[in-house]
Amino acid sequence: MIFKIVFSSILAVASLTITGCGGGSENSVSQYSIKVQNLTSAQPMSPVAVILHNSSYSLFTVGSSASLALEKLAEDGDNSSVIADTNTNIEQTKSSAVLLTPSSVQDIEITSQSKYISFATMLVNTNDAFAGLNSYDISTIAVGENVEIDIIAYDAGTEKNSETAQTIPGTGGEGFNSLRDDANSIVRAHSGVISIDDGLNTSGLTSIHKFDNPVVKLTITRIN
Amino acid sequence: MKKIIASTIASVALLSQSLLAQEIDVKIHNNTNGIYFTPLLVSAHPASTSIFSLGSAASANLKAMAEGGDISGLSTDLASVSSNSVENPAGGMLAPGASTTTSISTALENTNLTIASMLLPTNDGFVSLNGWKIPTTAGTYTININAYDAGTEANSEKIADIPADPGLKAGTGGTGVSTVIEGFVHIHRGNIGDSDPTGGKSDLDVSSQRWLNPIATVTVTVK
Repeated sequence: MIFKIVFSSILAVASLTITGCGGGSENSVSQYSIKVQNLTSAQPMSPVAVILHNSSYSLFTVGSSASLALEKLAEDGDNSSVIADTNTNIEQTKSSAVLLTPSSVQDIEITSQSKYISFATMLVNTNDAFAGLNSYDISTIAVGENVEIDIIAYDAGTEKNSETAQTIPGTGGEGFNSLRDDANSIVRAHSGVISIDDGLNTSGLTSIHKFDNPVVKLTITRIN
Repeated sequence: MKKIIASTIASVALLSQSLLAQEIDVKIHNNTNGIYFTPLLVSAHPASTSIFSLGSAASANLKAMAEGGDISGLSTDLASVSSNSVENPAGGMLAPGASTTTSISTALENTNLTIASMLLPTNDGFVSLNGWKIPTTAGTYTININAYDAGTEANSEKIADIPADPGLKAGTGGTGVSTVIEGFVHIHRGNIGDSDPTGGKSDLDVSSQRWLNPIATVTVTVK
């Protein structure tokens, strides 16, 4: 009798472990439409990265330092390392093909069994600003329903916000540099750009590059 | 038998009464330090109507509201879809820090709530709640709302391009901040201002005429 109970407990643990593999099976397979809109006046955004994953993955944590993959995305608009991440807690990743220009909308279709979605794109007329969403629970969206999520801008904390044209990819400057010269090297809410019109004489940006939150609207619809 | 029929009719009547009308209170609070809201338009309307679409060009009536504070065109647009609207609940400008409350009885089909007014002093900035779905469950709901740029006028920040400065903080002689007309409705990037009352780029006051979102807080009470 005792043996039997122990045996069935082991079986239950084993099946739980299998269920948790690869970030999947937390949910039944569902189809989602993800609409991404740029709400800024003049901040083109790099091809967006969408990550479907389980509760053990985190794209970024406010108050902690950024991963190298996120640094590349936030400084250079290069999402390839985020997209190619082999972390076993990721079920799948998707990238849009082109820049998300101001006012434009991109529609990304996803078939996934993951519970969580994360998202990031660089504001390319900045040193290291990105619009990000961390671990949003999509399993609570009913079939046929949609949620609208306002996304704010974060500072990756991996590059000083000098705003010089030479350091900003959108103004023809350098993108990724592994040197972390931000005095406070943690991810935090972005305080905005200053620009030459607002008194930073060495800035390569003008007033039209300024932004306020939200910078992106995400509309997630569960199709089935 | 007659009695049963009568009570059925009575319950049907009650049901249709609750479907036909919803009583809501709408409170709007100006969260800013020095930005005035021109006379507000508050409207319950069908879900199929909206006064603007983010990322698209503004209508002529939205432009008139955002550049000049004139809500009459938008009010006419909303009246044409049998909305339940209230104009100018604050009886003039809604000052920084102030709030105003209005009540609306909404018809069955008017399921969504829109609020709009121009921000002064700005070129074409406006505060809005754009077609928020009114809950059917009684309760109090708080919504943080944002400042938008109609994209119809460059943000010159020159007082000559702005209808009024109710707080009397703006200067003169600015050479102009921006000449770019964006062409689409988007989240307003904010005023810049400067500290030179007789020159500089902007005529607006840097220390009092800026803001960050949320620019207003709306409290809706569904009764």
